[in-house]
This record gives sequence, C-alpha cells and structure tokens, in this order.
Amino acid sequence: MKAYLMKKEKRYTLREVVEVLEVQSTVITQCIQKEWISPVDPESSEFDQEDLARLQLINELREKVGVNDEAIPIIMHLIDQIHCLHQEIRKKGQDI
Amino acid sequence: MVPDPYSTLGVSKDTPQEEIKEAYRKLAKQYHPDLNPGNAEAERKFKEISAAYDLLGSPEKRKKFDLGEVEFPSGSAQREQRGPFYYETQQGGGRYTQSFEGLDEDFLESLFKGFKGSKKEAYQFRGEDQYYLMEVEFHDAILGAEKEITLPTQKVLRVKIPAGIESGKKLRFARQGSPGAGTGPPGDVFVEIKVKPSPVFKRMGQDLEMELAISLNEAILGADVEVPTLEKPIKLKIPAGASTGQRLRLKEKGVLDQSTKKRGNLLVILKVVMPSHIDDELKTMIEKWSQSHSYNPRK
Repeated sequence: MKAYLMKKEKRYTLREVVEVLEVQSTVITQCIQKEWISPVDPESSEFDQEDLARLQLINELREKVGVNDEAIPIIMHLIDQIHCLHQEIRKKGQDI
Repeated sequence: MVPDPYSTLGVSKDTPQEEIKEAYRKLAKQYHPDLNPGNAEAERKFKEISAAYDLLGSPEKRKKFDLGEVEFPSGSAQREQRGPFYYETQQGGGRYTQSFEGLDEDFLESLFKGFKGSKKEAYQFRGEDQYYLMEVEFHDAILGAEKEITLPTQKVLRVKIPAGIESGKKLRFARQGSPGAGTGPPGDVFVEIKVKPSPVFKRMGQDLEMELAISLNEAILGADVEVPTLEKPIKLKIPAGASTGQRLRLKEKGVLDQSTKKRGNLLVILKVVMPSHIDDELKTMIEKWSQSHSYNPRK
C-alpha cells in the first residue's frame, strides 16, 4: 500500500486554499455553511490537509463528475462511512 | 511522453466541446481515486484523464493544444501539487473519519464474532492457493531430484521431487501462495507434476520395461551385453537360445516404492534382429541345418 507523508501540522488560510485548489472563496464558505467540511480551526478559519483534500474531492465531484448539490452530502456520508468501516476492521484485525 | 489527450478521453479532434466534457465526466466517475481507494490503476487513469481534460476542457485551451501551443506540465502535475486524495488523508484514521457517527457497532461486533466463534480467530482470511504445472524429466521423476523453480511472482521455490513420482501428482508448498488478510495465513502453492516420456524406458507400476535388440549370434550363442539403466549401464547375460519377447529381469533397477522403500525391477524384453543382409554362407548353413532340425514355433 502506498504510504503518503501527511503534513498534518501544515495549516492553510482561506486565501491559500483558494490559490492551491483554484476554487472561489464563496464555494469554500458554502461548503462550511452546509457542513460538508468543518475546518480544523473554525475560529481562525484555518484549514489542514484533510480539509483541503475533502474540499478538493467535493469540488471534483461537483465540477468534474457532475454531482449535484443534493447528492454531495449523501456521497460524503457514504465515503466517511466506508473509511470508518476500514478503520474499524483494521483495529479489530490488530486486536486479535 | 504525453499520450494524445483525445484518445485518452476516447474522443476525436472534431468531437463537439460539450461531448468532450461528457466523456470526461463519465471517465472521472469511473476512475476517481476516492471512489476506488487504494486502486493504483484507477488513480493512474484518473490522473491521465485529468491531464487530458486540462488540455481540452475549454474551447480556448483546446484551440491552443490543437495549434501546438500547450504548456506542460499539465493536469497530473497540478493535481499532485494540490496534495493527497481525500482517502489518503483518512487512511490512518483522519479527523473526519474519527468523528463519523452512525456506524452500527453491534453489527460489526457480531460480524467479527461470527467468523469462528472465538474472538481469537475473528479476522482471518486465508490467502488463495496457487497452482502451477511443472514438467519433469523421466530420469528425475524415477530417481528423484531437487529443482529450483521461479514462480511468476518471482518467488523461488526449491522443489524436492520424490523418487518415483507420477504424472498428475501435486506437490504442496504450505504458505507460499497469496498472502492472507488480517491474521489469516497465506495460501499454499501446488505444483502439479508432468513426467516427460523416455525414449527408452516405459513405466509399468513399480517396474520399468525396455526393449533390447540382440543379434542372431547373441541369441543363439548367448552373450554379455551392456544395457542402459537409469543409473550407469550394466552387463546383462543373455542366455544361449534367447528368443524375441523373452523377459530378463534386472533386480531393483526399477522405481522406488515410497511406502515400502523397495525398488521395482527393470524388465529387459529381448528382440532378435536378423542381419540386414542374409549372405550365402548363412543361407547354405541354415539350409543344411534345417534338413534334419526343422521345428514349428507356431505349435
């Protein structure tokens, strides 16, 4: 399995996210309002690598795959559910 | 080398812009890495089609590409700069995954308990067995041998071919197959043996048979003849008056019986061969001899 070096400590400001992902800031605030993402630090509205990747995925689903806004929370819920299941299975596997 | 973006998207140079978008969306749906987590092939494909669409995604970009005015690196490199895919950030248990609620814990628990009853054995999937076919020289099959084989997976196995093995027998290599999941053990490798025929020997159970040509003089007078065996050749005494079809036994030059540890015999079947040319001397001699010694072998 591919190991990815995650820069967990790295934080991005809204402006940086806009730059890196090439999305409009209104899209990002919309994603936060709809609770599709919840930034690591809501106070200062800073984003971490996870937020960034999640935003990127949502953006790709909408723009590239053509998913409408109704379906985004459903898809994200299912994806999170799968990750959570993976996680649980891995944990159980280690317990044994 | 960058592959042609048109063929990557499965469209042609005169496909309308709207259809290019549709083709791209269809492929993106199929190959998005977050919809295929951990599938390297899907990821590669997705990057490829993203790169292609970056070149053809708008009429302006497409025009530029068609005129040969494109700037590389294109999409796939851009995607890399934007960081990992979402599933990659969640692999070690990301924030979003940790805070996910609504997983049916009872169901999971019962699923794991259900596997084998005890928790100890819960998460175990044995890896798959792998099957191979190996051709073995007749000599090696009868006397046994040690061979090294390289599996398609590049794994090298030392194969001990037991003496006396027959075609169709399978050798098992425990735990050399596909890896298991969880704490499950790997599968086994089975190597099926196919024995190549020998031009000289024929196997009949634990015995070997071979045909031995002898001359007329050897048949009449008897002789010591050298015969091949699977080991070194040995001298065989042909009794005087030997006949075609007569069987002489060489003890314990046959096949080893693994259960009794005894070897079978090598049966030498004689075949009298006339001289290629019957000369006058032989003819006269036999004519004279047969006047007083005729016999009927068909009786």
